[in-house]
Amino acid sequence: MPNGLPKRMEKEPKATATPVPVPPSASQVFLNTYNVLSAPMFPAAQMLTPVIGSVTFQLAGFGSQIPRIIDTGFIAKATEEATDEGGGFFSTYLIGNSGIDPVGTYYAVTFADENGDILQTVAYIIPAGSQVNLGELQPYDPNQPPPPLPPLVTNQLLVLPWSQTMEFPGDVYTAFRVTLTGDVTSSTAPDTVSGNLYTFIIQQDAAGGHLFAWPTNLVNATPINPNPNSRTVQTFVMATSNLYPISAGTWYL
Amino acid sequence: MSRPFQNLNSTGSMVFDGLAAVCWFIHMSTTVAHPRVINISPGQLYTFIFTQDGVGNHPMMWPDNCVNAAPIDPAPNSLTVQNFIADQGGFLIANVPPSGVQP
Repeated sequence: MPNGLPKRMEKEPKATATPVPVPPSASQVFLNTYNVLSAPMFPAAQMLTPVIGSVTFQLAGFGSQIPRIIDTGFIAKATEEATDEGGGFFSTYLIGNSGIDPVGTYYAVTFADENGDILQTVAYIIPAGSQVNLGELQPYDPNQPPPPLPPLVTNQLLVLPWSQTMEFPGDVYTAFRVTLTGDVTSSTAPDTVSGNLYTFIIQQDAAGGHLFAWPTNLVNATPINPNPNSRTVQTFVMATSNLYPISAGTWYL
Repeated sequence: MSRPFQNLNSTGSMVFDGLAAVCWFIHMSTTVAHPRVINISPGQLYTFIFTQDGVGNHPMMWPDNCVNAAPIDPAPNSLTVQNFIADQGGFLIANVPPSGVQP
C-alpha cells in the first residue's frame, strides 16, 4: 500500500466487462491523475499525493430536463466510472458536453481513494469527438449564470399582403393577418392540421368597406367589420376537413 | 403539451412577461393600475384568468397594448377569462369575448 494510508476496505477485483460499442460522438478521456490533481483547484500545499482508487463521471447541470444526445432520442449516460489502467492512469469514453442537450450540462468528476473516500469533485466540460487529457483541461466553474432559456414561442403570425385571392397556409403558421385594401373574392386555408387553433386578424384600411371571402373550408365565420381601420379577429379549430370557430369573433372600432 | 403559466397577486408588480408564461392566474385583492405586458410573440395566444377576492370590485386597468379587452367581473369571488392573440408591434388583441363564472 503506497504512502502509508490506512486501508480500511479492500478493493474488489474488477469483473471483466463486455465491450460496449462507443458512440461516434464520444471522446476518449485519459486521466493522468497526478496531472489532474495538480489542477488549479488543488492548491499544492494541500496535496498529500493521494492514490486514486476510482474516478467517476457524473453528468450535471441539466436541471429538470432529461439529458439527451443531440439529434438522437438517446438519453445521455448519467454516470460513468473510468477504467483503471494502472500507474495512475484511468481512461473512459464520454459523450462530449457539446453533444448533449440541454446546453449547460457538464461532468462532475469525483476522485476517490482506494478506500472509497472522496478526495475531490471537480467540474469539467468535455469536448466532443476527440481524445482528451483531463490533466490539460481547465476545470469548469458551474456557478455561472444559467444559459438563456429558449423563447417560449416563435413567430406564428404570417402577415400577408392583400390580394383578390388569398391563401393561408396552415402547416407553418397558426395566425394570419391581412390589411384589406380591396375586396378578397376567394381564399383558401390549405394544410391546416387537425386539432390546431388558427386565428385570423382582418383589418380594414382607412377607406374600409372591403369584402372578405373566408376560406372555403371554414364554417360559420363572423361577418367582417366594414368600418375604416377596424379589426375583426376570430379563432378556429381544425377538425377533419373544416375549420370551426371556437367562439364568436371580435370587432374593434 | 402544457402551456407555461404563472400565479400572480394584484398586490405585487404586475408584469406579464411572455418569456415566462402564456397564461396568467391573477388573484385580485387590489386595483391593478399600471400593469405591463412584455415580450410577446406574434401569433401566440395568451390567456388571463382573474379571480376576485371575497370583497370584489377590484378593477384591472388594461394596458394600452391590450386591445379590445373587456372589464373584468367585479363580483366577489367571480372569475373572468380573457384571451388574446398577439399581433405585430407588441399588441394583444382579444380574439374571443371574455367569459366568466360567478359563485
